[in-house]
Amino acid sequence: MIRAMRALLCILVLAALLPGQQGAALPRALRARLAALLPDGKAFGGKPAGAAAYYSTDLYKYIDGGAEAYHQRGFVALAHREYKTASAEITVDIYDMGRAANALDTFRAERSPDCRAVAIGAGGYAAEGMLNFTGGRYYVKLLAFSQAGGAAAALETAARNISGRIGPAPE
Amino acid sequence: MLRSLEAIGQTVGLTDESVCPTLPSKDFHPCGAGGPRGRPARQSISSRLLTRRQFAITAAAAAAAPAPAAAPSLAIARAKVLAPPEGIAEEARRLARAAVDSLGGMGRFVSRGCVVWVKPNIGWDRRPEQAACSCPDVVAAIVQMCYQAGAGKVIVGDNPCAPAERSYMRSGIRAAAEKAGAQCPYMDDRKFRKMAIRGGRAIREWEVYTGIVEADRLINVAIAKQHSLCAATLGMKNLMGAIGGDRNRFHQNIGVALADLAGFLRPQLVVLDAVRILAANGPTGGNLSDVRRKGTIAAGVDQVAVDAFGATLLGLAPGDVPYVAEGNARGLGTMNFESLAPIRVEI
Repeated sequence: MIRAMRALLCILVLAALLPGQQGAALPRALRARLAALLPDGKAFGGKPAGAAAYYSTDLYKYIDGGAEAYHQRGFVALAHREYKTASAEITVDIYDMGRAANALDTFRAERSPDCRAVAIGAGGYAAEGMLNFTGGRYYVKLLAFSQAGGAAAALETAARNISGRIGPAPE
Repeated sequence: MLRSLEAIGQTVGLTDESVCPTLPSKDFHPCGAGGPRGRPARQSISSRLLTRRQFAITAAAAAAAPAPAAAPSLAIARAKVLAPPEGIAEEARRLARAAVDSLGGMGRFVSRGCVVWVKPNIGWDRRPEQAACSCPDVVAAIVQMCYQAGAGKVIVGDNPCAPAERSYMRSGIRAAAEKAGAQCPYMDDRKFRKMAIRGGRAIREWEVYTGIVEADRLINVAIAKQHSLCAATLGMKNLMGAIGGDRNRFHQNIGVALADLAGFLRPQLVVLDAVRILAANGPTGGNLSDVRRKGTIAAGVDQVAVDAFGATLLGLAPGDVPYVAEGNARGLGTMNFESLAPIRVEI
């Protein structure tokens, strides 16, 4: 009985020490790298609305049903944060796809032909209330919700800010 | 004597409804203690106090009359001309009403005092124009029809993928449903209960929302959209919002698992909203370029048939959608929806 209790204790201690599988327990270095890509909002006149959220193997908690397509393409982690500006709510999703080829592959699969090209990152494009681009291993998706319209400028500014943080096509 | 009268009634093709037109139609399931949803607890003729004379008159009339047409199983309402953006809300309401009316009206499904659970797709933090969630005006129209049919309480709810407080608000469904008189609560984690999925092949038990199971009626109000994993989100897929637990496990064998769930929940009415459809990048969407206007709403009692029709709106064959094929194979309904001679209306 005591042996069984000891074994159980060992398992619990080991489980606590091992890197977690939940997004909330991303390896510290990965989390820090993603956190550094999230803007503080000042550049586009916004403020973060709540804390950033991180997902890895639990991506389905954020995009249930859509997660598998990302996992199949090498998804590593997602950093998600929401912002409020005077006229819009902006959602920033930065997918770390492990490799630039994976990021491009996912980006291309989701690209809509009717969108307007923007010179941000690789192949950036925008439509009403959204802007997507890739930069190195990252696939970045921004959404804006605005009753009054006029969120396009804020989206572009936010996207440029993130693209600048990513830098010139890092792996 | 009463038993023999019942036997005679059956011999001449009398149903309870034909004996007494005020009795509910064939698909009516009494509320409350009438038995579990989906299993009609029909009132027998013997419980009606008919005199011998009344019975003879009615039986003679029934024998002389042509056989009553079977109640329609599927109705498809389309807009003759697609409304401009400012007219979509009105178009959606009219289409929803036309589709349900073509099935015989909401009174066929809902009776006085019923508790009705309306299950839209409120899965995502998206605006109605982005077509990731059910159109709020369709939901509101269904709620209104339920109350007009005498429902005691209408509850609108879903277990979204995005945070509920955001998706309920952004989709416009909470505001529209509450304006129409429905309650629109967030699902309470404590109210999911592990339930045996009888006949389940991929899932034998799962956490299902008790409020939905306990409601007298379940009306599934789904939107038609592309889905990256299972080709399409339609009515049967929308039922995933009735469950909790690790829903990603469903995706490992999604066709079979969804057929299991659909066989368990068996909504009395399925309304498929294709006022706008999300033609790509589902289920999340977000890009208006992926949205197409179809100006169509289907309503039906055969959930496989409704979804089979919905698949065609997305340019798919019904059999391309794994849960439609599985539902058809196990007899939950038919994916040959044309065999049901759907009623088509244009408004």
